[in-house]
Amino acid sequence: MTEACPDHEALSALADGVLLASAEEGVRTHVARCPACAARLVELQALSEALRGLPRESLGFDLGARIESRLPARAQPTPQRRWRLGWRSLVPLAGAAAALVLGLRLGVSLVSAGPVQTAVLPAVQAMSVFDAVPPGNLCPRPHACLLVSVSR
Amino acid sequence: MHDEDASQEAAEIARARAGDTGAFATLVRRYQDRVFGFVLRMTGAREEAMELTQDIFLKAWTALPDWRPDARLSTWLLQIARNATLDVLRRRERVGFSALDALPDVADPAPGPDAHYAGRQRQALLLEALGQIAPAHREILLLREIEDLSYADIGTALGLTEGTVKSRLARARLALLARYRPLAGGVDD
Repeated sequence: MTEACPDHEALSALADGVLLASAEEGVRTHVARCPACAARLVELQALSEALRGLPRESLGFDLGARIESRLPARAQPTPQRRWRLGWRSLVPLAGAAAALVLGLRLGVSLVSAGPVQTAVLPAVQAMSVFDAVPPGNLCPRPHACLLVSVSR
Repeated sequence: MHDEDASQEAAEIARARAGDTGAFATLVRRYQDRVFGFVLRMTGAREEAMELTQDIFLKAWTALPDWRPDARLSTWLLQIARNATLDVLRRRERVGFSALDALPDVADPAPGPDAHYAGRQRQALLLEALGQIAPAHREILLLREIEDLSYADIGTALGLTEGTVKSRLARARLALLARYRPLAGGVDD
């Protein structure tokens, strides 16, 4: 044979009858002219036949009857139950939403209080003198030690 | 399966899913031998296969609400059987097994006693060779050749694409032939 022999996968698929129609014709034509591939195909078909010829096994007793009394009861979720669960789950959700709205309102009112912010700022600057520079140390920045300008 | 049988089975499945143990028992009776046969060929131990078959149907009862009609019940059951069997094989940490103890009473394939013996011997050797190949090869051959599943159904049962089913099946056949040829070489008809 001058043409390449089909691979084992193609012959296996041919034996199962699942090769694509476009490929099947070419493989069948090759197998008809190639004794080696014909022998491989026959061997695959014989193996398949031998496996299918194995005797069927039987459990030998009625497993259905034996197992029926041992089956645990199964909880069945119903659509109604799911609805009830859904309404119940809305209660904490509504509480969380209310808390969020209240928090936002409080936050907005604090931010919008401009005069409070300017009144607090000098005191914070004064405290920074003691926080940043321990007594006896040099000032890191000249304006940080000018309490007069801060208090003014 | 005929349309009438399919619709009857669909009704039984619906009742079983709703908790009807009698309907489930009917399904068990229908599929118990197929599941048992698959498990027996996979494990090679009859007693163990019997216990495992019961466990598989108990698992199926628990999981039945999750079953979807897009997979056949038989394919779904074989999928559960396959997973349960692989768990057992992993616990055993044993890849090969002797399938000879699983050799059942064999139907007479030929009229004469010599032919009967030869046929029985060939089947025993085939089972032995089947027991020697990798579980992944054994299971795919059983699903294709014994259970007559399509490539698509095998893919569903094993979680593989059809392309992988095709290539694995080809390799499994090669592996089985490599084991079976030397064993069967001395058997006369």
